[in-house]
Amino acid sequence: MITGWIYKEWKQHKVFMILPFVCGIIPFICIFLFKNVWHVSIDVDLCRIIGVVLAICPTLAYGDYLMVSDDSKLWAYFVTTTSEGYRGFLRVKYEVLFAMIAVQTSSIGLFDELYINIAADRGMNDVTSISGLAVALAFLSLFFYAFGLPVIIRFGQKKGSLIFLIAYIIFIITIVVVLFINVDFIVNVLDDINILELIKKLFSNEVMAFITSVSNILVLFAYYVSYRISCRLYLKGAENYGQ
Amino acid sequence: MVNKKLEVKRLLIYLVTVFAFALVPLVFWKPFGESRTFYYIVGMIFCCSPAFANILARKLTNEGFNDMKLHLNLRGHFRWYLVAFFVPIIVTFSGTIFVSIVHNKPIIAEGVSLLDIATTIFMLGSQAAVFSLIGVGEELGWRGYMNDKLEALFGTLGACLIGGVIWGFWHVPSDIAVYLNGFGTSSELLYGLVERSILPICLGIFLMWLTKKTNSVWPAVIGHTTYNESLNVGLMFFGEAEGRMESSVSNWTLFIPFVIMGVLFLLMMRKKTE
Repeated sequence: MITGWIYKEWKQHKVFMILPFVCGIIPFICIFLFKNVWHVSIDVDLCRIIGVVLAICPTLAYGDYLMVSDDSKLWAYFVTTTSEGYRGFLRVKYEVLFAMIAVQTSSIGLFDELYINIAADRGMNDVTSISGLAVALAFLSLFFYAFGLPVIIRFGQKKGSLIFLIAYIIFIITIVVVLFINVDFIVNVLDDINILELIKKLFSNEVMAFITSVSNILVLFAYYVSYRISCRLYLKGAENYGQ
Repeated sequence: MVNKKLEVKRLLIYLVTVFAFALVPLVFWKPFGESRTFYYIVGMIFCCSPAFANILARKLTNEGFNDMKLHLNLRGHFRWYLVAFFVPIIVTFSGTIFVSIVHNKPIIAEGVSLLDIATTIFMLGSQAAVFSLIGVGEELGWRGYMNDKLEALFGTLGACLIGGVIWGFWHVPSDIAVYLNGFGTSSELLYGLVERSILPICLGIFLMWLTKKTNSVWPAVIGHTTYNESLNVGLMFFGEAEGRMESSVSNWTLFIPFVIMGVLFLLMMRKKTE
């Protein structure tokens, strides 16, 4: 049933590949743990959001261990001599990671819908869906992998993951700093140069939705370009594998 | 050489299984209407039953799982994935525009801007990429299994027509269960039955063409999901959703682009077969 490189990925990362199917249940587990076991006075919706963030971990782990035991020079030479070549090998890596993200998003969406229906039967008709968050996280993951995977492939698992991690931390810190910076200061500066109105207009709901939707498509395109870049970098990277 | 007796046996196992699941909403129509949780769980099982029937038929007849068509086969077929996304949008949107014209209503509904339409198309694209997995429950059965069996027994045209009718009528028990729970009138149910016998044939032809072209069920999954979503969106943007189920002849103009699509892809499929 399973053939080719997918068979190899399946044998090597079976657990990671199964987990996305059931990861949608994690928000339920979070609600149960926070409310019934730890008795924490926390909003149910916040529990669900924490659950969704935790639910994407198996895919993140797979992405991080993408080249584990594949970054050896001899293996890279062998891969190149196979009928599909290293392009086929890398294509399957990218496809499996993408499929896992799709499975994870669908799983979260399905279980979230189940939660909404259970809540409605108990008279809570105002429960909102959080599957939009899962979709947003899916595209965010794809965005990071579009940049991270070529780095891992170029420098090998150990060095590449480290570079990727450092870049990721810098990105998170930048976002946090920007968010916590004095908002009044920004408003004053923008007001002085009369840009605030422009930005307000630009980021009205309608425009923001359009920008998000276009960004999603661009992320898909970036993911494809990332694969092409990885193909170019693979043989160069192979020379450094195992060092 | 096709062993027709064995193919018939496989097809029967498949059909008995899917229709057994299809009858569940009708048998339990009362809780189906009373509990949203029951409705949702039964609905999910119902949607996944074709995939289950595929696996069961293969297992019982020792067919093996080699041609499950689960590989993406992206290499050289990426354009068909794009076709899978864009054709349902074009067809459903133009169908709903026809309905608006016949009803003498503005083509674009009040309060809808071109930016909204563009945003929705991009959103549908991104959702089709990461959120259409649910559709595999149906497509793995209908396009991934039943159509192959029907084609071996009745040829391409027979597979399209018989397959479409079977697929359409598989939905009917759940439609009746919804009607029994007081949603909709008898004329709406009748309109739904006619719709179930025309649209699945036309859409089924397109999805079968995609599956044959790529030897993968994934483009059909994307096509099916996009159709489901874009029909609702199309009615919101270009017509009035509540006017859709009226059994008036003018609403049947919705079918015109679907019939054109069906005939076009059937001709393309038959040309290739010849």
